[in-house]
Amino acid sequence: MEFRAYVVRRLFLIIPVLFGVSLLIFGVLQLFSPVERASLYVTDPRQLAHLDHIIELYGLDQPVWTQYGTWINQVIHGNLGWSKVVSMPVIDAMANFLPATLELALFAAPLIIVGGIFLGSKAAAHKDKMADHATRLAAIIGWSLPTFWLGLMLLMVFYGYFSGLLPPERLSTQMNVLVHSGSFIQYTGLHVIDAILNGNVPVLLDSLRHLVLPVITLTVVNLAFIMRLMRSSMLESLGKGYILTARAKGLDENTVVKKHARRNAMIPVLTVSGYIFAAIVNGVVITETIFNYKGLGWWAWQSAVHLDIPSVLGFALFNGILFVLTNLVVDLLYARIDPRVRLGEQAR
Amino acid sequence: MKQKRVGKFWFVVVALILVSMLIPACAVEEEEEEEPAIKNPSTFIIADIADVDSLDPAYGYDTASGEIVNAIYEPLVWCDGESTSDFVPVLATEWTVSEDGKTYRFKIREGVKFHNGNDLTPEDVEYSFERGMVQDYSGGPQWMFFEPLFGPPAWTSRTDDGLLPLEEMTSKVEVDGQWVQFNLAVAYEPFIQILAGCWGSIVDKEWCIESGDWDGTQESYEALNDPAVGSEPLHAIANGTGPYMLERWERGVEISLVRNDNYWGGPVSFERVINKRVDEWTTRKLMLEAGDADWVFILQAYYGELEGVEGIKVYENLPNLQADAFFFQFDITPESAFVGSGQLDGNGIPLDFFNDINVRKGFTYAFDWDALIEDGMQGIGQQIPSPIVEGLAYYNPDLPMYSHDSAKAEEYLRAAWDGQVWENGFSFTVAYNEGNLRRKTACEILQKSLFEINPKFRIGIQVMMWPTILSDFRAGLLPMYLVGWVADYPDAHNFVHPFMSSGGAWAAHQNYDNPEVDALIEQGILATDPAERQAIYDRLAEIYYEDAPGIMLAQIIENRYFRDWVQGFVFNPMDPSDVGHYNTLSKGY
Repeated sequence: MEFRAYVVRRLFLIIPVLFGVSLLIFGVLQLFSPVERASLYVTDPRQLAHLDHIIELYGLDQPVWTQYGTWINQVIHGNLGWSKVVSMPVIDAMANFLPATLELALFAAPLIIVGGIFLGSKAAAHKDKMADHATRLAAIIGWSLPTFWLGLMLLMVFYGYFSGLLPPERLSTQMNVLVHSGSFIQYTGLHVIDAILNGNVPVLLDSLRHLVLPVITLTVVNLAFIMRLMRSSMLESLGKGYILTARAKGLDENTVVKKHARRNAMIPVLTVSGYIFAAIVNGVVITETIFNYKGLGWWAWQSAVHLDIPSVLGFALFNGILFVLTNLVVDLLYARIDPRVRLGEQAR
Repeated sequence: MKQKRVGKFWFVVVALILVSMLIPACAVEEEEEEEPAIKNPSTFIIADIADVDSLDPAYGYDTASGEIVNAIYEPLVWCDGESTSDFVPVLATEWTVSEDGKTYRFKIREGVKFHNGNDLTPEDVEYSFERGMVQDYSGGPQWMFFEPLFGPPAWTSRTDDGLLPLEEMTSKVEVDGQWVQFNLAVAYEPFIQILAGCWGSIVDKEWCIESGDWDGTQESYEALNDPAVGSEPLHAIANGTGPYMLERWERGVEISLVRNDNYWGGPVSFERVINKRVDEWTTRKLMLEAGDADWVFILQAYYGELEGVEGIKVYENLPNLQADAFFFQFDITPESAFVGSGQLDGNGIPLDFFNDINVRKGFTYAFDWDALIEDGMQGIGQQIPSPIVEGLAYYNPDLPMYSHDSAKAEEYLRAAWDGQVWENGFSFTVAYNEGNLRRKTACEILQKSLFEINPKFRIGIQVMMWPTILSDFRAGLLPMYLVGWVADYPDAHNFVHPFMSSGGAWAAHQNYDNPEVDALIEQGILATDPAERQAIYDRLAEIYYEDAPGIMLAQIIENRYFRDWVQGFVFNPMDPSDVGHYNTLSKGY
């Protein structure tokens, strides 16, 4: 009961967060002149003559509060406006582009987090030995590689050199036609899951093939962070008194490291992992663009570049919700890992 | 326990991926022994950088929309092959133009069906044009019909006295048996060119009304005029007479068209055309090389990367109806942050700096066109004497033209502002919009050659995003800016107006005001005699040379890169599509 009350209370937090986020973004956007904000609709000099009319039509020269009021009123009625960059309502754009990103995140995040924790604890357990140096080197290299460079290199090698081995986009042309035909039901928009639900092996294999490079790119670039964090956190717990006790009472090293040290070292890593997962769901602009894997990141980037205000605001709201939820999940996981953290007690 | 299961899951995933990688490898091996295989033989795949704005032919104004509209819908007439002045029948079988140039009559083709099975009638044609004017989306192409049908300076349905009366609009297009007649207010030579554009596409009246579009009433006119973006009823649906039908529009990702098997013009080659949006150049290039795309969008700066690549065919030196120019601001707004000190003290320029013809001529002589074409345009480009580019009616290559001449530049700049310019020097900032190597190079050339003439001549270069340059140039904040224009229709009028008229898209905000120019521009469009029009446009070009209100840069010449198995490409500068009309294309060796 207390648990549920806690969750509900935390969920209510979304409202002030969203209000704050939207107000902030709206305020920043007002730094652009009405003409700049109208430029989304006037992409060609041939449309210049209509500029004043467009400013009036969208109320871009109205006082900030009037504009904000109009917008919030629409939002309350479930209308987030029109995303000009992709020619559809903002809410549809989010629904359309989320699955691709989610699919990436579902593959990349576990690899990053589990891989990072595993390698990080290995490095700490073998501090200053070969394994430690090797992972450190790998971490530094991965961390320093610019995403666009790594992505393009992978694409040039695995799509260019090995002609067509691991292609960009989400599906090959034929499979995409098949996925959109009547015989294939799109339950989730995540092609891997839909393929399994439809029992369609070719689509499953094809979508996995298209996932390899973007997932590798994301993993290589992000793994180092968790790994290094895990290592230092692990070293700290390995130096704690209870480890000494555990060793003194004759526990084998494996149990000491895995059960006693690692579990305690996970707390900070968990926090960061939550953010990494959220950040990927939030969209990975460069990876999505290079692999033409159209997801939220690509859409948000396009919206920002074109000053597509309804889209930018809609995306900010989505972000607010995402981070509140991620925080909540992370907090719930703390309690699961660390028995000292008890939700009910905090509430009191 | 738990971890082991995770391990197993990943093992399965990795195994599946490895298997999936083997599939194409096997496929390639099998095919290698035969002739070079054509990938996706019955599908044409395009990798472009822009997505369609709207599928409504009256609304879309961008080239991406035009390309798709031209595959689904059809106009009355279209250009004959590569010509921009000869037209061939499409949905009209024949046409006449009255002696005074004010009445155009088109006989409508019989036996044509829309994709939904409805017959094409002359009423559909009448409705199509009236509906366009009723909708008149601000930011859309409909202004082009107002000028000829209502006479200059009309250009919109929204006047100071409210909306134009409906009866007046509907009286401009009338059905007469199998014929449709356009009643122009003035003689307007490029009218037929405008009709050939994608905005002249014919829609199915019955289907439009069923879909919530204009039903002929005043209320509906008021409700549908200038729809908010995306709210036009035909935004995402389509029903034309063209060779392809809309299959799926996955916004931001791709648009897929399928063959119309009942096409009146006979069957077309491809079963399906897929137009993808791929933002990253390297990705597009790799797709073309792998044969996963049959044509890709390429910026001029990257032409070299495709030179000599196996399996790729190039069509070279295609003159685009597109030109860039530097514009001088005659009356800079005092708030401008780009004029330095605002005085001729060597650290700025006065607000009326460019009012002195010597400054403008000096700048123009300082510009080096050959360097621009060599360094900024991959060696292909062509200097033009005036805003009238090659390929437009009334282009005249024999007119006087500036050339790079440092001595003359010095002479004019020494004379400018009674010698103060030369003595004190100047400093200000010139702006161009982001993502354009050609324009960046042009700015750098001007910067360098002015500096070489006198080290006290200093210009800074500011790259701006489109919203900023748009906002700042309109507010008169930019002393000098570099922008361009693409043709709507291939007539000189469509270029002299934006570049020179005091009401023109670019020139209006430059505060260049020459009453003779405005009068000539109006006479030019209303004249019916080609010789008379030629004389007027030549005179306008001469004025551009004498007044130097800006520096015309080079006309853009393009290459187009296809897979070598693509056949049948027809270049027409008026085609919004870089691959031409889809129905002329096929795949084979």
